[in-house]
Amino acid sequence: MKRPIEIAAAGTMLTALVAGLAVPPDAVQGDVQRIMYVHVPSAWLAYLAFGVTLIASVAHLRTRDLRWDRRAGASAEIGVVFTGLALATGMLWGKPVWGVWWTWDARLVLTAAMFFVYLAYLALRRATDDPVIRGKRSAVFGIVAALQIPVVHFSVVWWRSLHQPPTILRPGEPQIDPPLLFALLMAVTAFTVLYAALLRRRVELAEAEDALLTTARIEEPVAGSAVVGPLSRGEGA
Amino acid sequence: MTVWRQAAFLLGFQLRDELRTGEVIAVVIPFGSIALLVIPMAVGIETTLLASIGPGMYWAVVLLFGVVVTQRRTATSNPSHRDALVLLGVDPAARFAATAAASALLLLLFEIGVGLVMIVLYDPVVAGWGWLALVLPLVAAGLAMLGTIAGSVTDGGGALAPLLVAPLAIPILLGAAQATEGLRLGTGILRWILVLALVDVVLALAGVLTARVLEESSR
Amino acid sequence: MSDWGWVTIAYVLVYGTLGTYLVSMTSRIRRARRAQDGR
Repeated sequence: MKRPIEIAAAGTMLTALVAGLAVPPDAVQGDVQRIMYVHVPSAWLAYLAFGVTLIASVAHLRTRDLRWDRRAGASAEIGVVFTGLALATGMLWGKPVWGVWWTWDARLVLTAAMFFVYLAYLALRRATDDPVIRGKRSAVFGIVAALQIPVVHFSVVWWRSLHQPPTILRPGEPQIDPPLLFALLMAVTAFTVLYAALLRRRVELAEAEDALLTTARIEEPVAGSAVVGPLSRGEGA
Repeated sequence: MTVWRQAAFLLGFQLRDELRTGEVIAVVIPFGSIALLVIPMAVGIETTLLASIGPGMYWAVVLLFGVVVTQRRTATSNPSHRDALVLLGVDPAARFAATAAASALLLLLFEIGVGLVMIVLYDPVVAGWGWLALVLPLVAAGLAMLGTIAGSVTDGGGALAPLLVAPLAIPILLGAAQATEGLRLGTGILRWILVLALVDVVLALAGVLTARVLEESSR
Repeated sequence: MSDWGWVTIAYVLVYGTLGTYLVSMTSRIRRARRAQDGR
């Protein structure tokens, strides 16, 4: 059963795909520049998803509503997918253009750091069975991470500014021709719609999984269950 | 009893506990030292290479192995111990401060111990001892607070707490390593001292603010 | 490898991953709901 948002996502993603392949190649980088139409949106969504996780974490701590915790977790899982894609596509762009898979560019290092923070957050969520405890612990870590991330950001930027000349070609440079800019904006829009669709589904999954957790816990033997009422013949402990 | 008195009291307890178990002295310092011993076996033993990578490797070992100090048994207390403290009306912020302070002191001990090993094995050029005397405690405090927060959201054990700490500890590593390198080269290090100080302020605020929330979630 | 080779790999990776992720979600939801009903 397809929801409207999913149909919209499919539609916009298809349009973005066509746009990315149909527009003229970049004057300097050639066709390889088309990777930017999947790389830049991935990176943008990685940051958006992270922001949503933060907002949902704060909301959860204030309202103690588990729905906010599920949104935080869902957004984080989606975010880690987009961050991974951003890193992978960045490498696929970097190899033909720079000749290497990886450079210690500040932006790359920061994206990698964010990827690991996401992974840590998800690992933390997976380590707790109780949704209530999980919610509090994840929210706390999410907020501490969000407070620390800006410090991570400018410490890395300062570190790289000592060594990196400012003239290195950077992906997503501001001088960009209108048709290419259109393809890029189309892609960013499409990915954002897709994120919304993914988030809805992932929250739905989280609700189903949490329901399983809660019933499982109810079925666990309660302390004092050794003391039972009179049993009729045939019933055993 | 004020929050400060509570914290000081608990700090004494933790340090006495640690003195009894000796986990940091007997286990973690040797562990960090053996790491420094093994690294040249992996990368090569040329004196110039070791002299140049020594300080960097030192800080990496402090960061990655130091987390173990913050996850020691005396820091991650069992639930009944925690519940007893709650019933006694101990401010959760005091408990955070005490645990973090104990970890910081033990980390400082760890840094000094492992630092001596590094100097012996790698023979680096070390400059700016005065500034280093400031860098070491700033690093210890930051790592301690980060580790304490990580310890309180995990159930202790395994690599989960270290995983939570490592990416967020990047500014601590950069600050320490760049400051050490800057002192050697004679360039300005003020920005890196500021980074370390800022990390400590941010984490202190975060730790105190979230302490109360976590109290209720401890199981 | 040609430029278009790199582009193809990148696009297949991205669209493939995201498409699979979205589609797999539906079956994961169905599986969780079936397990719930079975209790």
